[in-house]
Amino acid sequence: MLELSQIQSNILREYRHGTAPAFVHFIFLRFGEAKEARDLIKALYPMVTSCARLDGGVPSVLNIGLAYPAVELFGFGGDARALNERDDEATGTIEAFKCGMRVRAAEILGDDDDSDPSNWEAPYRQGRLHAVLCLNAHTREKLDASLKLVGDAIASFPSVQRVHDEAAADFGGDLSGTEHFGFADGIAQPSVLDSGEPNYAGAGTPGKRRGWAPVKTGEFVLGHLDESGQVQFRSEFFKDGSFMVFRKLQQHVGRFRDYVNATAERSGTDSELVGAKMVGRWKSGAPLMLAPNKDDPALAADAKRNNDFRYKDDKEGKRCPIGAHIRRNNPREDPTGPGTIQTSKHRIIRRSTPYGTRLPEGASDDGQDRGVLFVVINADIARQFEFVQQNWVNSVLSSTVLTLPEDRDPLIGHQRNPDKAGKFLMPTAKRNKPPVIAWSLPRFVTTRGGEYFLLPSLDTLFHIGQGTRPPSDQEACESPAEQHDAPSPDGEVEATVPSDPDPAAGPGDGVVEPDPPAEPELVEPPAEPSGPADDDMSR
Amino acid sequence: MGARPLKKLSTLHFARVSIVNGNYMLFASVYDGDFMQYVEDFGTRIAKQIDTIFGACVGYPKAGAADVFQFKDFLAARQVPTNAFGGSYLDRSLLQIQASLRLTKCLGGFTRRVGAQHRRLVPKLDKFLHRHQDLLT
Ligand code: HEM
Repeated sequence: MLELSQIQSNILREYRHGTAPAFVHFIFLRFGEAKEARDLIKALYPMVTSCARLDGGVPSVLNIGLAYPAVELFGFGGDARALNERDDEATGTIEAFKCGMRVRAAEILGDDDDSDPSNWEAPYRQGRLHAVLCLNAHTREKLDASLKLVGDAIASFPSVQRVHDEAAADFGGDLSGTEHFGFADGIAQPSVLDSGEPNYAGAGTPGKRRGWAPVKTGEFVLGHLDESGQVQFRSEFFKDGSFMVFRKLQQHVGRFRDYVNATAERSGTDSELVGAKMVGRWKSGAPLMLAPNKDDPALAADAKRNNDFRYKDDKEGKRCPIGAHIRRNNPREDPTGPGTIQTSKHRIIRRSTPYGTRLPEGASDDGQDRGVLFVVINADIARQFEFVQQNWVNSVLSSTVLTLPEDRDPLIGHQRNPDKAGKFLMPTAKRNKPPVIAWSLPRFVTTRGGEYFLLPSLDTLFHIGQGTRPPSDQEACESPAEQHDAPSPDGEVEATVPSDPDPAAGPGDGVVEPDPPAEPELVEPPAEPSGPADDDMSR
Repeated sequence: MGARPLKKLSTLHFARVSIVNGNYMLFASVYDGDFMQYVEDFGTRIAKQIDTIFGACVGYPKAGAADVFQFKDFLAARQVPTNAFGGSYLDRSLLQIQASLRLTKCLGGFTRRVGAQHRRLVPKLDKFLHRHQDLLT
C-alpha cells in the first residue's frame, strides 16, 4: 500500500475536482545560504499538503518542488549522482533533472524560434531557479490567506530570493474546466495503482480484449514498481517523491480561431468539427471516438463513459484523426500506433490551469498574454514528458502510419517555418468525400519558460529542514549538513517529526496547523540494501 | 536480407547483419525517428527475433530485447557513429516514400481511366481521394 501521508498531494490528487473554481499560485525561489534555505523548508513543512491530508479536507494546498541546484545545496547531490551507477533507467531522468529545462529545450523539447529559451521570460532564462512553492485554494480569500503566511515565511530569510510569481485560475461558471481555445481540459488522466482514486474505464492501460488496468505506481511515485517491472529511485531521499515539469505555454487564441474558421470555410465544413478533430474531443470534452458527428455534453459529463474508448476500430482515423492531440499524446492500443506496451511507458499526469483573461467569443486577438501554466507529474522526465513532447508532439509518430516529418501536433506542435509548415489530415467516413486537409499550420502555442522540479516526500522535506538525512540512507553525504537546533527564527512554527496527519482533523481550521507533536517515529521499513542487486549490470 | 520480421518495423529503411573478423557481428540499419523509439519498437514488436539475432553477443541483456532499457544501453554502448551518410531522400520517412510511390501509381491509373476532360472529373476525383485517404498522410 502507498503511504499517502508521505506523498505530496499534487502528485496523485487533482485539486480542481468538480466545478469548484481553483486558484493556483506559483512562487519561484532562489536560495542563498543553505542554512536559511533549510530553515525556510522547516518553517513551511507543517503546511505542506500530503495526499492523506488533502483527502481529509484542507482549506488550501501547499506543495514544494526543488530544482537540482537546491538538491546540491542541501547536500543530497550524491544521492542523485549515485543513481548513475546503480540505477540505469534513472540515468535519463536524473540527467534531465540536473540540466534543467532550459538546457533541454531547444534540442529535445523543440523550443525554437519564438519558443527559443533566449526568448523566454527573464526569470526562466536568467540563472537557475532553486525551488517552487505551489499554492492552491478553492477561493481567492483562502489562497490569499495562505499566500500571506508563505510570503511572510519567505521574507523572514533575507538570503532567500523570491524571484518570480505566477498566478492562474479556473474560469469558473460555465467555462469551468476549460482552456483558452475553448475545450474542456484535464479529463483524461492515467489512473494510478494504489492511489486511492477511481479507475475509470479508459484511464489506465488497455487489457488485451477488454478492461483497463491502473498504471503501475512507479510511473508516478518514485521508489515503486513501474511498468517495466523495475523499482527506480529506491534511496530514501527519492522514495515517495515524484518529478514535476512546469511549463508556461502562451496560447494564440485569435490565430487559432481564425485558422479553424478559415479551414472550415474552405472545405465546406463546420468550424466546431475542425476544432474537435484537432483535439480529438468536442468542446464539452465528448470524445470523437464515441460521438463522431456532434457534441454530446451528457457524455462529456459522465466520468464513467467519457474516456471509455479505444482506437482499434478506427485504423484510418475517420472518427478521430491519427494526428489529433489526444490520439498522439496517448495512443492507447492504437493498432496503427506505438502499441499498448510502448504507450504504457510514456504516460503523464497533467495539471494545467489557464492564466490571463478569456478572449470573448468571436473577438479578434487583443494582444493580451494568455495561456496555461502546464504541469506534468511523472517519475522519469526523459522517458515520459520529454519523450512525449519530442516524439509524439513535435515529430513523426515514427511507428505509425502518420509519418510526414513536417506533420506535428496540430494544436500545440512547434510547426516549422511557413515553407515547411505541417498539415493536418482529417479523413472522413462520408461516402466518396475527400478528406479535409488543414494546410500550413501556424504555431498556436509559444513556450515562455519552465523548469523541472523534484517533489520530495514529506519525510525528505522534514529531513532537509532538520539538516539530517533520511534514516535508512547511511551512505556518506559529501557535504555533511550542519546539525542545528536553533529554533526557527520567529519561533512560530515548530516542525515536528512527520506523523500521519489525522485526516479527520482540520477541514475548515486555520491554514497552518502544525501537526501535533508525535513521538519520533523514524522507524522506516528496514533499510534497502543500497541500490538494486546489480548482477545485471556487471556483465 | 530476408528477415521478414523487420517488415513489421515501418520505420526501418534498411538493415544488414554481417560477420566481421570471424567473431564480431555488425548490425547496420537506417531508420526514421528517435533512437529510443526505434529501440522500443524492437523490444515491443519483434523482441523474439531480435533475441535470435543478437542473443549470442557478449553482454546481451538477460531478459532480451523486451527489457528495452537494458537493451538500449547494450546498443548504445556498442554503437559506431556514422561519419558520412548519404541517400536520395534524406528528409523523407520510409512510409512517406512508400505512400508516395503507391499514390503515384494509383494516380497514374486514375488519369488513364478518367482523363482531364472527363465530364464528372470532380466527383470522380473526390471518390479517388476518399479511397486513398491513407496515402495522403
Ligand atoms: C497550450 C497547451 C495545451 C492545450 C491547450 C491542451 C489541450 C488539451 C485538451 C483540450 C485535451 C483533451 C481533454 C483531456 O483529455 O483532458 C488534452 C489532452 C491531453 N493533452 Fe494536452 N494540451 C496542451 C498541451 C499539452 C502538452 C504540452 C502535452 C504533452 C507533452 C499534452 C498532453 C496531453 C495528453 C497526454 C492528453 C490526454 C490524452 C488522453 O489520455 O486521451 N498536452 N489537451
